[in-house]
Amino acid sequence: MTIVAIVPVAHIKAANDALAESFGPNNFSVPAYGGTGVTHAALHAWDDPAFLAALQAIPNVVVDDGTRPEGQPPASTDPIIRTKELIEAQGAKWGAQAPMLPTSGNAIAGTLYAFDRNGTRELWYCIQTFSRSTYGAAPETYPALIRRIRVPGTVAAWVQPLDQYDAYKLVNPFTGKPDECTFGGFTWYVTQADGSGNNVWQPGVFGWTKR
Amino acid sequence: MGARALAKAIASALARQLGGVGAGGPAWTPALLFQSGEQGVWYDPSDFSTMFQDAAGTTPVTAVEQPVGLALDKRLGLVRGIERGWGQELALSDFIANAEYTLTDLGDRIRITRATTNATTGLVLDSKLAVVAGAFHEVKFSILAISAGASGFYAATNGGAAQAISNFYPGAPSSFTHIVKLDGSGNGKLRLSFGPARSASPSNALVGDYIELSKTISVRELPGNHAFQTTTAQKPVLSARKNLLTNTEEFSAWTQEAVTSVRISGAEWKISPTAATAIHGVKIVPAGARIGGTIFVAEVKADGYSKVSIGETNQTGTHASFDLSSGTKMVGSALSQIVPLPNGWYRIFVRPFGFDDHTGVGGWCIRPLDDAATASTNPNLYSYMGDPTKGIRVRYPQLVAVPTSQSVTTAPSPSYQRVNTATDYDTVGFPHYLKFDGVDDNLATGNINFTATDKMTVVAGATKLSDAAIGYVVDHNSPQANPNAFALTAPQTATTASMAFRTRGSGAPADAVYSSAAAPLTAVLTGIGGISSYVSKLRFNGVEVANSSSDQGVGNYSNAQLYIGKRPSGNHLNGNIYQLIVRGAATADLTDAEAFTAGKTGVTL
Repeated sequence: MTIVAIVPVAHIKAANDALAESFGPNNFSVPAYGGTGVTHAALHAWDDPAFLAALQAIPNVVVDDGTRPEGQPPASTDPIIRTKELIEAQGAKWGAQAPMLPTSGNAIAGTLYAFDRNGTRELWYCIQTFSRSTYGAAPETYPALIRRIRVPGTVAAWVQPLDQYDAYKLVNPFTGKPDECTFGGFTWYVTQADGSGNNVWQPGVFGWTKR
Repeated sequence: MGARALAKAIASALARQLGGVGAGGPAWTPALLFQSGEQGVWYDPSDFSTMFQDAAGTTPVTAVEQPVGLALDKRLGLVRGIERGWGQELALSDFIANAEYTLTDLGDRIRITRATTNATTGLVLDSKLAVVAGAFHEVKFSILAISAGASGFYAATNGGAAQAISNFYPGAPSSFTHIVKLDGSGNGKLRLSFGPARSASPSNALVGDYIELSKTISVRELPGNHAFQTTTAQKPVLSARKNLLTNTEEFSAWTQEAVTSVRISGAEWKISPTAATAIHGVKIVPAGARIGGTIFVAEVKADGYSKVSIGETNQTGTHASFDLSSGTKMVGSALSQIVPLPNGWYRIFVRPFGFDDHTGVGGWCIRPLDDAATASTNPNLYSYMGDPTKGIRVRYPQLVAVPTSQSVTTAPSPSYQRVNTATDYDTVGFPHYLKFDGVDDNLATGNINFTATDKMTVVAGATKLSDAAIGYVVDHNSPQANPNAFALTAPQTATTASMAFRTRGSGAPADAVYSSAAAPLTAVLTGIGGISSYVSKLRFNGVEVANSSSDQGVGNYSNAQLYIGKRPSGNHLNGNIYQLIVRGAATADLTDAEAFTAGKTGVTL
């Protein structure tokens, strides 16, 4: 049986560091999201007893090796289903499997949606159920209803953050590196932030350096 | 030797090896596409000699269901470069002086002995000739002896961090091969470290611990754009699994629901109801069943009872029932059928009405039915008094994925694959593939320089198992985000039955999208790109199915990593790759490449 595992965002670095020497870097690489951004990182691995033992020895990591108690239905053998189940069991959402934001009918509160913008896939978290038939413009039109979730490690056009949750990070807890963006024809990365490590300023104004 | 001269030498070697192609000549191989020094890759998962479980090329892939951390590019014939190490001439003076070790020349070998308590890195050699920055090199050496209680230590670096470390066991002299990918920096030498170790570290070795190293140490370039993955969770596995069932020749290992299963001979079993009024049958939960189309196939024969049902185990699940005395289908989907075989046997095909994940409904069952059963009987609710002297014979059960659009009547009867467990199954005659989990698996090369061409040909034998999320078969420079790039996707967009080839120069992407390709689907996909000529085409099993002639802008393709099974920022492939050829040139005649790939993929063009 294959292995799925997940770790809260605060412990990603420690978990990946613990695995790095014997199993390579960044084993936890799949971001899972809550309403304000990344909350966890997950992984799926094919059957590997040594890797399973190493995962089980790391604090704060939840591991599902596919075994189920007597009388329970067997675990699915589909990696996608197993990974999705474990992510959702932590109250998080899997961005890669997010449904498309509907163009009609209701967008449902608590759902992470994908939105295609000129071929680029964005993630948006629905705060409050609303009708896309009525409120059908681009999602940033309705900040009280739906908010953008940035995908860690991607370099996209800079967008004015609304608050600390979608602020650009001096050290992104998922990647361990400064957030990056594109602005004015350049790629920028965060080099200064407020006391909480957040940068809400426009590149060129404060705290950004051209790459 | 410059890159061009090396390409010519390799082409020449290939020509000598192959002896020409044509009537009476050797079989065509994709290496012939690269004889003029074209940039690109060719990966062949059917060739075990090209795959290793670790990115350092230390542990070969020897069986199916092993992870693949390194896949060698075969386009240059895996012809090794010149010797940059030592033949029988390794001398004490070749080692960089280090007072922490003593060296002893023992004739055919050199003993390296730990001399002090604070040694850390092992004793160091620099390759005899300059190595090629950024290239892969194959390092071969032999440890001829290790002192009791110690292990051997080896590491390789080109000036930066060590690339690979292995520990060898005392009393087990062996020869070793490592494949080292150098970065672009370093001092032009490959630096090798050897020495005794304990507890997986040279710094733990005790004074007096030693290893004896053969004087033959080989360092040779391994030309090619090899693909690797250093992270355990992200390695694909090699597989040849087609039949999703297990215990296909051990019906007694299936769940026995008021039946007894007895082996008659070989794969042939008799399934008899117990003497009880009950619902009778054998049940199994398939491994690896997927959302999408499947066919359950088995061979059955009457042996006292002449009616049989095969289907999903839940009450409303798909089932089909057959009368083995007349060879007719009593009830079942239009795509379910019964085909006569010699000696009273029938091959039964059961095609589900719905295409659900069978693991969620308890799996599949085979049920002997008594004579009172009719077309309206629901076998999952049908209870009767069994006669243990009667039964049905069963052999060769299998559950295989097929496209939802493909009818049974046009599908070739799948050849039977014995499956005992997830790692014990027949592999001979079944296509081998790299299995990508759709979560985090992928391989990547170093940078491949396509800046000299604006033409591209991609031929892939691939399976996509789901249309739920975007999947990338191959990606170079991420055309979704960057100019001068190309990619092959399956599917192109989430929840669509699509596959596509995307190419672009400085302008917007030109997508050739085929929208009638519902998962699960295995096919030979060919992407053809031409930036200045505004060409973006997709061929499906040798037939052009989509094209775009939109303006792609200008320029050539890029110097970037090639990702296999994802693009840099995600979109992992949920599926398999049987064969992959990427050629940085236009390919006038695709017949051979597509036929070769089809053969390796198990599809018919």
